[in-house]
Amino acid sequence: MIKLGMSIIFCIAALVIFTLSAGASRRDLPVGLVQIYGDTSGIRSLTLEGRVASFEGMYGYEFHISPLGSHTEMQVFRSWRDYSDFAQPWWSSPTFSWHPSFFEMIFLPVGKYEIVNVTAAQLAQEWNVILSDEFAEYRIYGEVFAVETRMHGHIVTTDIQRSLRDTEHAPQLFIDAGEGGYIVSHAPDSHFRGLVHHSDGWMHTFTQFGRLPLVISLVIDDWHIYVPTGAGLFGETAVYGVHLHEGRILPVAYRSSDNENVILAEELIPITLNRGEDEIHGLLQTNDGFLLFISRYNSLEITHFNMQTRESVALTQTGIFRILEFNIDGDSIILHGMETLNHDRDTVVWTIDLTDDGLIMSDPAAFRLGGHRSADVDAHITLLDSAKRDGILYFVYAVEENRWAHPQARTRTQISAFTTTGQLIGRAQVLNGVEDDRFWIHGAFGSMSQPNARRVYSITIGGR
Amino acid sequence: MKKFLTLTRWEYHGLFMPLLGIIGVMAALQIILFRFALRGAERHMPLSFLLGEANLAIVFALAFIALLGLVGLRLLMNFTPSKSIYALLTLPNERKRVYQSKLAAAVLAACMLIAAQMLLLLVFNAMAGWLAREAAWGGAYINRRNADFYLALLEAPWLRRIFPTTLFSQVRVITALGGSVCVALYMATALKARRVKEAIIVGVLWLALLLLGTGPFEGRISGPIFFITMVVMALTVSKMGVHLFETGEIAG
Repeated sequence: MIKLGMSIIFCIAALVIFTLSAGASRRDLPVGLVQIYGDTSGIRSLTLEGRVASFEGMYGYEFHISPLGSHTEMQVFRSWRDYSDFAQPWWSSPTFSWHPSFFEMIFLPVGKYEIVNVTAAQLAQEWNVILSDEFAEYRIYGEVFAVETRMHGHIVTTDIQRSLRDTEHAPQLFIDAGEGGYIVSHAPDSHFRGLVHHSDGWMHTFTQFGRLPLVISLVIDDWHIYVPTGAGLFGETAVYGVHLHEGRILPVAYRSSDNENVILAEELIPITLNRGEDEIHGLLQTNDGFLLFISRYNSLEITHFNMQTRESVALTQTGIFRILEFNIDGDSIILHGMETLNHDRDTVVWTIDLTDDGLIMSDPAAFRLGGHRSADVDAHITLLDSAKRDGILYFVYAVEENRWAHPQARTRTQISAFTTTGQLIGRAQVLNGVEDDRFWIHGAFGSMSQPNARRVYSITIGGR
Repeated sequence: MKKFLTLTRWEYHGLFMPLLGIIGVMAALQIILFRFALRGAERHMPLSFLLGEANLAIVFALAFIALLGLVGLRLLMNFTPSKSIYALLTLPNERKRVYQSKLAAAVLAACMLIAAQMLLLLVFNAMAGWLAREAAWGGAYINRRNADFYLALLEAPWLRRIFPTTLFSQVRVITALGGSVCVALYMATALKARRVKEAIIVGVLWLALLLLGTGPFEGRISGPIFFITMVVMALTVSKMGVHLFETGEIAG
């Protein structure tokens, strides 16, 4: 009888200990924790402010959103109850009376959980954002290139680029200002160029893919769409950037109708392109103007156009055909990756400083992040974000291990800190942003085929 | 009731030492696998990922299958070498109590296995905690939260199967585990009663049902239908097993 009794006591004790441990662990959940299922290496920022969450994505293949379809990969696991009482012990929770089952009390003593498929519509609904019927009917096919879900009051904007392979569907821009959303479709095969945000509004640009006309979409305050016009802006014109000036929308860099010149701002400063060889692949707004990136034959040309002095300075770097990503922080431009003429890609990071003497480029490959962009090596590296604080450069980048080389390949996010001379200060993983001197990070574990839950941590880099 | 308890105690006595062996092997294997997973782990990996990497679910499944085998073997050992089945059937007691006591002992053994798995999970959580506490990499200290254990219960797919979060799922899991014990005991009983065909059919049907309801084909049949079918089948095979005892077919 002793064995029987002891075994029953053992089972009950294990159940009690397990339940208490789970309950204690449950109560340690951070307030406002949002977990995202699916590969989140493309998420550039994740902020939680009370009941408002915003996600800013970067790479479309990681975001498949279909509000009404069955294929929904981005999910938020959240409490049934508000985040505000997320961390309350169950006995003090005013909502504990909410239908707890006996087994829930045993195993999950703080309420019921559900998995919410996150679509922009659902997110908006959950956080009291008014939506129109049009949004509810909105369907997305193909890959999502970029997602911008911003919630300020009753505004949700979602920007979607459909798969470039899917020529039947054009890029679409969805705008919901809370009073009835609308969708702006663009020409088939058109190519998403990027988003430009301004403090007093929201701006979006498209340019063409192939030889189709340019479209620019701009949203400011009253939520209308403008198509700016200007000298040379017709026919096969491509705009690379726009600027708000005294309520007017000015194209600051665009390709002229002869397709050989790039015009900067109203001054119509032409930069000659060789047809079929040269290519503009980026424009970056600086405090005083713009930087234009042009890939020329076996060289990279970076032109700084100062809007105040109306002067332009060019810097040419041979051996580099294209820069893969770039970012700007203060006076430093962070460049990432390079592609040579024979398409050999490398993952290096270097900086260009804007000084009175012009553009000063650091030693290319000064900041080694590791990895490589080629398909036959260990890992792909993608720069997600960068920052310069107190003379220290921080690079945030996704490391995607090669699935062919590593069956257990994972995608993770890392941060590396360097001095301006390229000396590595430290390296940590899973960082996702900088806020109040703390790095907000979310895990990025697991392969894309076997997504794992992500979580939010905060870490502090030494000395900051 | 007292006679039933006495029989159950006797049955459980026979199961106890092999059960401890199964639990011991399971614990040892899981700890070794988890250590390996920790060795190759990034310092900030969540517990659910580490548990998945260590393939602990396979070890638990093997241990449970071993337990089912032990339940069947225990019945067969009543015939060879001990011949104790004849004593059991001639006890001044209802014969169905013998079968029920075997079932009760087997269910308690399954509970022991699950309880051991629960405690092992706490051990793994502590092991992962020790790893995180030592984490200092590139000047950055990773703050691992106590909530990781709770999150692992929600995130690790196999743990959500054993410890699901909704009442109905919990009942369904309990039914599936308990039903498996019922089926294993019946199959051993039917084999000794020379009803090989019935034993095979029941085994195959139960396996198919598990695969449809919880395995790779989960979702092919609706939850309530799956649950009702399981309950009906577990009760039916138990009734059939009792019948074989009551009629004395078990003794040939």
